[in-house]
Amino acid sequence: MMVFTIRFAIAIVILICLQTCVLWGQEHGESNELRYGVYHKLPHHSKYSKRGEIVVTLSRAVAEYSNSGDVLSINDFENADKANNDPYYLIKLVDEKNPENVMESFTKMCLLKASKFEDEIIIHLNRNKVFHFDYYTSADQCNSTFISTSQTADFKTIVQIIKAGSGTRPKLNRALPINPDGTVEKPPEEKSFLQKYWWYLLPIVILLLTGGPAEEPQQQQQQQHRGGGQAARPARQ
Amino acid sequence: MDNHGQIPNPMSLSGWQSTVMVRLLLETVLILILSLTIQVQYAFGIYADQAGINDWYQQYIGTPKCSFFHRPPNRGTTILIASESNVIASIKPFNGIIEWRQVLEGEIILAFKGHNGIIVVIAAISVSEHDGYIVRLWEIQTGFMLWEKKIKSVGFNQINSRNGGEVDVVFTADGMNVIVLVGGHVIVNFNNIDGRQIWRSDLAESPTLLHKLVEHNQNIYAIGLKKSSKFYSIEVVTHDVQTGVLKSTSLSSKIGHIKDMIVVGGGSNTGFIVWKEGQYVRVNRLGSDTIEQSSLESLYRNVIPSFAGVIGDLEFVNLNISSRTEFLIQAPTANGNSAAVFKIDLESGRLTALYDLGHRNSTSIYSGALDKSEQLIISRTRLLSKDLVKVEIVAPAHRLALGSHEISYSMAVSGSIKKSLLDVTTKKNNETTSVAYRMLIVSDDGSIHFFKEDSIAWNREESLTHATEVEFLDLPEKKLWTQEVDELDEQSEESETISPFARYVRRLMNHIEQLKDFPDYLITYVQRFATGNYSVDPSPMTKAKTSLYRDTFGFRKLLIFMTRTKLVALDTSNKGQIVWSRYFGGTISEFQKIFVVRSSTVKYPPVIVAIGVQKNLDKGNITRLFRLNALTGEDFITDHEIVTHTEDNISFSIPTIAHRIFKLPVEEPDERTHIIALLDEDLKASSLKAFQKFSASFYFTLSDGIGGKSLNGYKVAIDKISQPFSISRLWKLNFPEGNTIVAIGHKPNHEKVASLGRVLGNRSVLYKYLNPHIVAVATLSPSTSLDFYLIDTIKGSILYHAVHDNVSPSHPVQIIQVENTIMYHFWSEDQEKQEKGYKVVVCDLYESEKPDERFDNLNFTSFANERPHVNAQAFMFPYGVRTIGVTTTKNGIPIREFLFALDTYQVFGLSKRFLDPRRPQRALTNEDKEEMLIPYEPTIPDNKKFILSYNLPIYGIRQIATSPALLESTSLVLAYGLDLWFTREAPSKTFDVLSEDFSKGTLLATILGLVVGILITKPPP
Repeated sequence: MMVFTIRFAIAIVILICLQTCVLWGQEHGESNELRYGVYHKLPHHSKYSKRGEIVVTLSRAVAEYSNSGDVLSINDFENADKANNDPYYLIKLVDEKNPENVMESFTKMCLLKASKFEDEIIIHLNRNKVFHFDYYTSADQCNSTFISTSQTADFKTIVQIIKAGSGTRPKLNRALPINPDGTVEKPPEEKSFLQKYWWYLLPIVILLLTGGPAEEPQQQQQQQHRGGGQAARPARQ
Repeated sequence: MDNHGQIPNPMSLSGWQSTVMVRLLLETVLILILSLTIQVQYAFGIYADQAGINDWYQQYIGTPKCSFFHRPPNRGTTILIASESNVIASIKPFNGIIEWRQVLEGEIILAFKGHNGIIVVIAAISVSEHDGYIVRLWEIQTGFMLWEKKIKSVGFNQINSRNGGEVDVVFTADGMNVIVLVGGHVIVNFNNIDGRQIWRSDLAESPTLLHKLVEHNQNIYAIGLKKSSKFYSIEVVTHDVQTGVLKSTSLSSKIGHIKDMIVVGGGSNTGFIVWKEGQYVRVNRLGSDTIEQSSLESLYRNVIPSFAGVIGDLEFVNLNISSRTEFLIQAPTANGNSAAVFKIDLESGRLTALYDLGHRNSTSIYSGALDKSEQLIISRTRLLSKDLVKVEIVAPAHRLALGSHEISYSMAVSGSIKKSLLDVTTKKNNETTSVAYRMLIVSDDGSIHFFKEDSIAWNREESLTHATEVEFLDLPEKKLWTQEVDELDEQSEESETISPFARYVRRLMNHIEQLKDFPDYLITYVQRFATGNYSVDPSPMTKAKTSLYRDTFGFRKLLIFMTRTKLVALDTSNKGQIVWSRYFGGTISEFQKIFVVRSSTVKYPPVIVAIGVQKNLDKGNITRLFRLNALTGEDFITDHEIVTHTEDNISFSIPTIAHRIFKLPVEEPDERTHIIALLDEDLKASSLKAFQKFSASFYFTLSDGIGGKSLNGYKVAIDKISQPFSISRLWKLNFPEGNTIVAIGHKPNHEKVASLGRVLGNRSVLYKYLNPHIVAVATLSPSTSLDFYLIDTIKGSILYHAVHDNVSPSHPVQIIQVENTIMYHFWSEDQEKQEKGYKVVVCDLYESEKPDERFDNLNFTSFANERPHVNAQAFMFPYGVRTIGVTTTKNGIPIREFLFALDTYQVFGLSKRFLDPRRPQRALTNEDKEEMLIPYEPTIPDNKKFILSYNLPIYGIRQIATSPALLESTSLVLAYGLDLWFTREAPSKTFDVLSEDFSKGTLLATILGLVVGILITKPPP
């Protein structure tokens, strides 16, 4: 009984250790997260202001956007149009750990309104480092008859991650014949020499079994006859 | 028969006989024509015959760096040249044709010297770990190399800083040894016969930098300069030729600059060092310590009268004449320059003045040569005016002026004279001496001219070896008469004043006038029909080669080359003959860009704009724009400018350097010329006219080019109307840390897409992704991975990104883009997977992976999140590639052919059918066969038939430019660099021209046969 209790205790200790390891691993994984501040600038603004935050989890290759910082009113966007005839919406991502790492993109103001502030950020990864992002709005044509239902610009942002693919390589291996439907054509099974050519050997065996020594002169004659045959010629095509 | 069975009367019999006669005659003619046409057919169809018919090839050598005349005992004289393009060549003085040439690629020629039928060339190589010098000995007569030796790097970093100042070579008097000085520190003695090294002396630790070698009496003197505080002092290092035993002496001297010293003599005579020190000219006999000196002042006053007016420093001019001790001193005066010939007396070692060349109003170029009696003859060449050169020939020893020649030479075409090389023969008749001279001239634009007596015997347009860009110019059609008199453009009031009869007479007269060309037209037409040679144009207008008009198939175009300081226009159909050339060296330092801003139309002449920069330290940099009539090369002045035209406004100038120049796809309405936008170094945009309307959709991208680390997208801000416009940055793409751009994709100038999609075997369509703003960029990381990006330049989005590992940075990466295809070529080091070698990757971009699917938007916009489907395939490539071009045709209907400039100096044409990502990796199905696909093979076949340039070696190809002809099937191809090669290429065969083996004879015979048949069988009248 005593032995059983000790064993049970050891098992529990091991389990606890394992659990701790897993938790530590998870924590470690979380430290693999990258945080980027999303800043934007309207044409009539002189400075960038914070719009939200993106958290990139490298281990799972997932990124999430959350709105934070200043909320701009629709009027801001309306004013921008009137004040400036070159209305571009500038957006940048700033690495929170390394603020010198800045990525910049833009879109047209009218597109942002036409898409009702539905936008998409596509993050490009290279060896687990974010180096660039593409910024798109859900609409790609300016629609002048946009009427907002809300008083504030609520961004509905989707974040996507794209990793570099590995470059195409020449297929140096001998290609397997593939049927037009995409299935690999099965090569015919290899047969042994006897399996393939038994029927050539059959008459020889029969001859050997049935024939006797008396037939020898006849064979010689046959050979002579064969020797006087036609010379080989190249086959004509 | 209409005789109705009656017996023929004698008269009708003779009629019948005559019919038979006619028949016989016709038959004979028919047989004759048949046999003739059959003969004509047999004369064609031989492949080797086609060489040089559709293509032409011009060999160049580059601008001469060093040159000399070589006069072998039993053969004609040749000119030997080592050029800036690192070519050594032998040229016939008679006609300027190359006897032989050797191209030393990847090397820099530093020294070049001839002796007794051999030349020695020292070249520097700087290919990463293989740094060093190469010494080669060549035979002058054949151009064959006798031996080659390498000298390992010694203080190699100095090579690039100086243009060969520390490299010299000398032959010993007995011709047994070649002694070489490299790097200013190392002297090596080689055996002349086999290149064996006899001794090597390394003086790398010495502070003296050696400059010059002189051999005399079994001693090698190396003359160098040692820096001591402000001045240099002369050091002479002496080696024994046989043993290499060394002795060093130092001369008490103070020299401000290396130019103040000259070394003369050597070989059979004693060598002397002559230098200027303060107010004295000093002379040292090599091998002794004694220094003789002469006062400059006494020189000015007493000996050389023309030096009295000298205002600047004296300058030594080395005539480089074997072992002679004569040299020249020239000096600038207030209004020109003066010069005099001096000699070091061999006995006393003193400076003596031989001859005062006198004062002339313009700067002169001098050269010297020996005649058969070893008499020194000197030439003085200078520009008298913009169109005239004067050559004066003197014999200084006899104080004789032997001749003076005036030669017409256009400064507007070639610029001023930079170098001259003289060759003379003198004849003595009783007391008078007559001289025959010839002279090689190198002008400022880099071209070569050969003067003989009073004229230019030949020219070589070597400036083309500096060509940086080329534009194809379409020639205008011959004007129709109605357009010439502008009948269509007539105002109605004007039309009313001309009576219909007068108009009729005018036309009739014109037609009669044109009738005189008819016989010629008929002959050419028949000739063309019989021979199938379509380069012969039957229209009488283009018969005169001098008039520049388009031919029937548009094969004739002008190639306008932009070199460093010159524009040269060649005619494609006249084997590349020069039509016009213009030199701009006086007003600009270097050309940057050339554009055809208005193509040929009937009413307006074509216009080109060339943009160059003048680097001027005092006044700041100036960018100049020249507007020229592309057919003549003359300044183009618009009608309303004629009134206000002055000398100054020929060129537009902007007081800054253009950072980037764009040709915009908008035309200026009055003159129908394209608009050019310049972006200056402070990133301000300037544009000529009518830019505002377009600027709303004008986005552009800037990068630092190859070696850059980022791309930036900009937009012109149109908040103000005045120029220059300011620009604002919209996006920025920083490539991952450590990555640098190694290649940027380029597109052909003329790109027309015939079909929006690709039709598959089952009649479904894959729609092409045709984004005009896509650019392919390749970057290389320190971990030797090649990143390939497709970037939208409006939005800065990365549309595709792929990584290739194990890519060597030592080989260049090349990218080409056309339609929806992007191809790149690189060197892979992947040994593990047995992929070490050159690879090409082809990417075809489609709107969707699935057939018959398109993007939702009908109008393409970069602001839409629509990514292409990239279909890529890789192949092993058999060659290294310098540059890639692609064929372009008028409407883009034929399949594309990629043109690779190979490392083996050839052009390799590969059809897109081989570089097709859709090549199936399985047995071909019926649908694949319908689509005309070829089964996938991992390597591109090294088929000799793909080599378009057959056996021609086209050296130094920098670019392959293409342009469409009027024939849809044909593309014009030009490869240029050192050599020029032009051809016509039909990637899908000439489907719009009757093939050469089309039996025209049979066709003719059939027609004739039918005609004869009709004649025979027709009922008699």
